[in-house]
Amino acid sequence: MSLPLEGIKIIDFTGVQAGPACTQMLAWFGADVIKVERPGTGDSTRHQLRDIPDVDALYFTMLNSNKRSLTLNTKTAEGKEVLEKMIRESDVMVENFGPGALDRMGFTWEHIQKLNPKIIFASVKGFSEGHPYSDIKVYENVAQCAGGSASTTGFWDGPPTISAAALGDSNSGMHLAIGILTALIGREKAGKGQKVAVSMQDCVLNLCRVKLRDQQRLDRLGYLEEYPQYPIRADGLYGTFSDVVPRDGNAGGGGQPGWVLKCKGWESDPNAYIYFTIQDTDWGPTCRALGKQEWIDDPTFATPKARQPHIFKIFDAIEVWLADKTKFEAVDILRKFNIPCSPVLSMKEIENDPALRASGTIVEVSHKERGTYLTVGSPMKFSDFKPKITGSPLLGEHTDEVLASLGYNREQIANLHKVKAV
Amino acid sequence: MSLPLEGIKVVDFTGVQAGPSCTQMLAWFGADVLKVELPGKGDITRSQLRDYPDLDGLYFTMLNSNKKSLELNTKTPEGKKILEQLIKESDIFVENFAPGAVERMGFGWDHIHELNPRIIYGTIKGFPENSPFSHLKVYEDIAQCAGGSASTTGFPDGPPTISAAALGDSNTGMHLLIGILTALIHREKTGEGQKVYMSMQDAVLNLCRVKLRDQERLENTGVLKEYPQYPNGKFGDTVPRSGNSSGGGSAGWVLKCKNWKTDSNDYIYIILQAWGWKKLCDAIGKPEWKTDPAYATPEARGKHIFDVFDEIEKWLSDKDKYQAVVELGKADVPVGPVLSMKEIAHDPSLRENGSVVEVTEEPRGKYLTVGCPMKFSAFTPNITGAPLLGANNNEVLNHLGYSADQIAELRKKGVV
Repeated sequence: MSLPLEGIKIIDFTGVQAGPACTQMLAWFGADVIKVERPGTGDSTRHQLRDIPDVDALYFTMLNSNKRSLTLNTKTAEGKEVLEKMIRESDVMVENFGPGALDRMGFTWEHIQKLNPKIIFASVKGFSEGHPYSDIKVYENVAQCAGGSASTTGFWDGPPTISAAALGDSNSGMHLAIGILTALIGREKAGKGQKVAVSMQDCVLNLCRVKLRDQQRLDRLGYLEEYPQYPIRADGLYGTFSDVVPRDGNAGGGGQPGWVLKCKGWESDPNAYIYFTIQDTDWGPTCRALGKQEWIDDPTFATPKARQPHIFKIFDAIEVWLADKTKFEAVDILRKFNIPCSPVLSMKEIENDPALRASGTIVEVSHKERGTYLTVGSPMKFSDFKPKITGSPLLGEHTDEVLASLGYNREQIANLHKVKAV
Repeated sequence: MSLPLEGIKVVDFTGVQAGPSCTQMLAWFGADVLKVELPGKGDITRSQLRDYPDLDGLYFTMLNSNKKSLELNTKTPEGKKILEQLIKESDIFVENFAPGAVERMGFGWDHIHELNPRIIYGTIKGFPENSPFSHLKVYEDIAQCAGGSASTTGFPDGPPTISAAALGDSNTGMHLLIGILTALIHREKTGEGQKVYMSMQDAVLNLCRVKLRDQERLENTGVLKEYPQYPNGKFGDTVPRSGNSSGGGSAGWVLKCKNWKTDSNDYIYIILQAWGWKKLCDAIGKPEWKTDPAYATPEARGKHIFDVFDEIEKWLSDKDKYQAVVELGKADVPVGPVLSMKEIAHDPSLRENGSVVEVTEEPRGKYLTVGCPMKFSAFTPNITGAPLLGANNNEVLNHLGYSADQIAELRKKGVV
């Protein structure tokens, strides 16, 4: 089984999450990814949030599988030389240092391009070049606030809310992977590499596209018909409209009203909920499923427009129906009526879900020191190959092997160790 | 300026958001994307959530720029034949119909692969193949509930919460795009196309990777020290909702600024890094915290972190979010304003770098769209308008060899 990116060499000069998520996926697809790390310490996630003392943390192992590790002190002349040799023979170099850090190391895009005109240089920053905030160090949640997600997530009577999904980190890494693959295809035609940059702010915003849609609709109409704020109530129970897109709680968003509803046991189980969508096309079956046949032709319920003013009363009635059913029992009944719904799955349920194991979405991997652990595998399923996910490398595990492949002999390698270049 | 995907032909058999976001980006990168739509009606988003009574909704225009539109009734034999002709000469076929629909139409992977062994077949569904839920119709919020995001988003005392970001839709489209580009590269080696299957549940979960990390840590140690539940609350056996906490190694939260009572977005995000603590203390006028043992270390602060945040909010009470970001930024504190969509829409810097783009399209006129998030040194995508329904009917049919008479006949039969 040949892998799509076999033969592609990648210098992975990234740390923490955004960059590593990108290079890990390229490694799954067959690229030879060499993670360049600081001697002695390595990626800070090797140590962060450890669950087992003295063993690389899951934060590291779950974002750096299928890679090789080279320790390199790029502040030494010898270290710089090693990196230059690697640049000359690689296809892609990825970095997510703080703004300007790589330039200060002497590895500007101009210099890298001179060393290897065919290389693709990929970079993740918090804000785009030239943005007034481009000097700010950006973490996940700062990106969510800057990219429009925080201002539109949460409830109208609560604060801006952070999403658990890594919109700033892993999501930016996925966008960068798109950019790199596109540049690799472009190189076949153009014969030369290019620079690809993504900012975390832009990547968050790219997933909030429909919120920019809503801003423009709001500008024009003054209301958003599918938000819980509509129709506007005198008591403001569900918030009001101003000149910015409001937070709409758990509303469906796409013109199909929906909400997160309580099921049996919600008082003690924080995830005993389902998402319930009221599809216009399936109103009859929805009423039959709930035993509310009288709603089918009742003019106060029969159309989406008629339902919207008292949509929360409808949800309340559905919660009464749900009160003696677990989330799984409820979904098993509702699916027969073609109602779009899902249990709110906890991470524990996802972790132990046999279907996700079978599909390769959750993968058990073994690691030299830690034993086995679970990781999120390739979300894309290909008909011609299945990524084989291996453990993450120990710090510097492949240093000598990589140096030897660059032409250093045993004595030279020993010397590089001695001068602490590696 | 040549574009990387010039010469790549895409049959875009998708609707709503997940599929169209993927094919739109392919079009930005130079692919020739032909959107195949139901005659007379087209993509449902043309008529959903409209701001002008008779114009294509922004929902459609913001996800279908740079494409061509062909109306085609694939239930007629003539329509089937035209689709087969298109498949034979294309590189990529993308669909996101409800489970089983495209197979019932006769255009499942096996048949398409037979028609054109080089074609790449991209497909989006709610759940992975063979999942017990795989025949469910899935929307955005449902995917967020199934993929682990809803159970971990929101506050410890509140319900599972939906993210505004389109984790199920646009995010799945971006993942499918990675898969399609990878398959294009693979084809250079193998000479053959392949099927790329992308489920929304998988795409959501891929962004919740660190929550699976936390589940394993919780099982191994019983606590998650960076969560607000530590040290004063209780942990169950699954990852709890952690409100606005930072999730990384340093404490963080969304804090109120001067006008929060009237402006729902006058807030900042702040992260209290261990190594920047002294500068932060000086910046907020609390130099005594530098040496006070109850504040000096992250462990000591962690025990009463919400009191610390309350004190910082007092300092923020006479500053708006922009003033606060400037002052704290000077002290190297990682901080950012909560930007509203209105602020983002009008941000000059986002306009300048092409992240927010103004598009002109007749008959709608000007509107904004989210541009290409990736910035390439060798090309800049030129973002144009979205096609009117059937705008390219004649052009496409002509190209396939149909004469004017034959096209008129197809029209009469309702094929196009």
